Amino acid sequence: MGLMANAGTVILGIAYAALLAGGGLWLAEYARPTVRAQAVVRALAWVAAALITAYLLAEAVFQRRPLFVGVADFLAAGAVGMLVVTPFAGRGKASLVGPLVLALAALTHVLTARPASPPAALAQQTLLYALQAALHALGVGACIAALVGSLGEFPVREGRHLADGVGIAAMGAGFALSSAWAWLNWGVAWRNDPRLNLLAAGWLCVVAGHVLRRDGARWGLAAQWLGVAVMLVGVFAADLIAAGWPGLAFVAW
Amino acid sequence: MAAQSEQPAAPMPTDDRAGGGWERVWDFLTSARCAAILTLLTALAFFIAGIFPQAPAAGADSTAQLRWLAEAAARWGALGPALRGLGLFQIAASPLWRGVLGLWVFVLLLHAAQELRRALRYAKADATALPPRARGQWLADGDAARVLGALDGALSQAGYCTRTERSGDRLHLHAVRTGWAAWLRLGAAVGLLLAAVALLLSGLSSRSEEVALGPGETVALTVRAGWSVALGDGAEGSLWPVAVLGPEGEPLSQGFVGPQRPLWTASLTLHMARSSLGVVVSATDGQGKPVSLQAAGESSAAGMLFLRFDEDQPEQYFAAPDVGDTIRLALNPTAENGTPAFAFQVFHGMDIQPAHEGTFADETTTTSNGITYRFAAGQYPVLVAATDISRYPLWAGTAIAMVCIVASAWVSARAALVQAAQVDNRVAVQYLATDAETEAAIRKALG
Repeated sequence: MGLMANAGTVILGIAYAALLAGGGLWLAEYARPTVRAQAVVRALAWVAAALITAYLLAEAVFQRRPLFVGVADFLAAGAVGMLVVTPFAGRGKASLVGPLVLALAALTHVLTARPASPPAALAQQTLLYALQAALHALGVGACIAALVGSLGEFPVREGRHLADGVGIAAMGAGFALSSAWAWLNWGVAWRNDPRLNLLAAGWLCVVAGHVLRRDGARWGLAAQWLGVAVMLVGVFAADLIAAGWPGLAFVAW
Repeated sequence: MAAQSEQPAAPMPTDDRAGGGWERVWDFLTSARCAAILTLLTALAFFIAGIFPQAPAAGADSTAQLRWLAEAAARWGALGPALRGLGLFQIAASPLWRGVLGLWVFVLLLHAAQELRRALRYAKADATALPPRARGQWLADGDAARVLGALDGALSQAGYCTRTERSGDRLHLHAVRTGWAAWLRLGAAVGLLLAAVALLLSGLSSRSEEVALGPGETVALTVRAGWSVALGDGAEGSLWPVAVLGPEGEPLSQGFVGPQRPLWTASLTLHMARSSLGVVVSATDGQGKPVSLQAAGESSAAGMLFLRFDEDQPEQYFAAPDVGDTIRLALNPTAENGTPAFAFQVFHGMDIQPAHEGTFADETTTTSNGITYRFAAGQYPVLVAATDISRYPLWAGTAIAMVCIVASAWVSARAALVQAAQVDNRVAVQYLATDAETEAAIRKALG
């Protein structure tokens, strides 16, 4: 508990301050846009995300707490994914909305929801589980950043395709690891739980939308937004959906 | 001086046909748009599987699966039977999923055929099979052979492998760069095809069952007739020593099973599914001699009993027939701060009031009527025994597809087909290209 009471509190305090400063600057920038303010906002969001990630990793290392049990870790990793992809994806204000919102949401969850996290099953207390969940989180964050960053832009720039590609590839690698994890634990190629299935459905929509947009079909954009919406349903509503499932030991990422 | 032509274009010798119905069907089935639509259908199947509860993998215990399906349907009230009838609780076995996989297999076969033809033609610097993503036409003063020669030189300098041929009064220039990358697209199509076929066959070939093991227990397998699984002594942390035994009881494979540590044999894999609570019971008399014990429902007595507990079976009885005692054990799953504990009661003869009772979380002893009973509670493994020959093509296909897709994202085959025709003292040029970079090189060379 030492980390929680001392260094951890300080780390989270700094992260929270960075986010508040970023939020304030963002509002000021909204009133009078300047490139420098945008850069500072992005930098502050990076600092916050890095500190939150450091806090979560330190907890995992020093307190042996399993990662990605509950939504908080996922949001923090998703914020990092958004921040990584944002420079490729968008310009101006559109590139700032996602990171700040998600980083703030991640911090809120770390501070409020973590004590209510369910106990981890054995299969969740493994590196492979944490890795596949982290890749899913980075991928979801990147997919959202890629879409938010190019709002209303058609045809899209090459950088947008790169941003799409990063999100799609990260999630694809996450599903490959998830499959390996399911195989090592239960001898099945796929763990059929609501969150994983909804993330896969959303990811496939994003992939299809990406292909369609490259092929010049405008409705590819709608498919991508639909995909992101389905992913978010998976992230936030899977626990509620799973309550109606008989015999599901836990909901995974 | 070059100018964009207003004249109608002469047909190019490519697969880019504007021809009949079958050709259009072929073009659609091998297009990226068709693959995207199939991807959306696959997404629909996953979405359904994310909303409706999915039955555990079909195992040897079909009764348990039927019970699960009945329970799942009951939770959806009046809609339950209809949803179950549509196969929404077993999407992997539903007509929707199999239909989508069947379509994937068909379309991927066509894709593979197309990519093979393209790769073979690219190897001979033949660009007639290129996917035309850019096109244009020009009308310029001069000689067709000279214009095409200049273009040939420029593209060769840019790293393209070129070939010129004459067809009637027209000249054709084929240009291909990194043509070998077409094999990556073929690899991706073949890998995905392999994975889709494996998934289609998986429902037919895969079988699994749960095997709950206690100390010293040997359990016969139904997924592999004649084989059995035994739990050995000497657990190391969360790893359990397990042996797979053949029809004569000979060990076929031995090793530890635990989280992310399966045990592999030739055609069977054992995985740790979960842990279950169990109590080992033994008894001795006043001289320290073992007293035989008999579990309820068992026909014979033994020196040691293993009793398994779970939500469905929170209470167990056993007897010490030689001394006339009956013992009741009951599980309280959240007795002390959420940790499970057991309550025991010892009854003498036909008494309805217990002579001794107590609770324990891990182990305890109690003496009643000169008999000392020892209880030791612990977690014991529940394994999944699985056989599935489709896993090999599934993993191989997925790995091949991933490698090829990632590689082809970095390097792709570039090709162009340029046609030049002499019209009096002017030359009419048309071109098709696979990408914007190749198109830019052509336009730059044409001036």
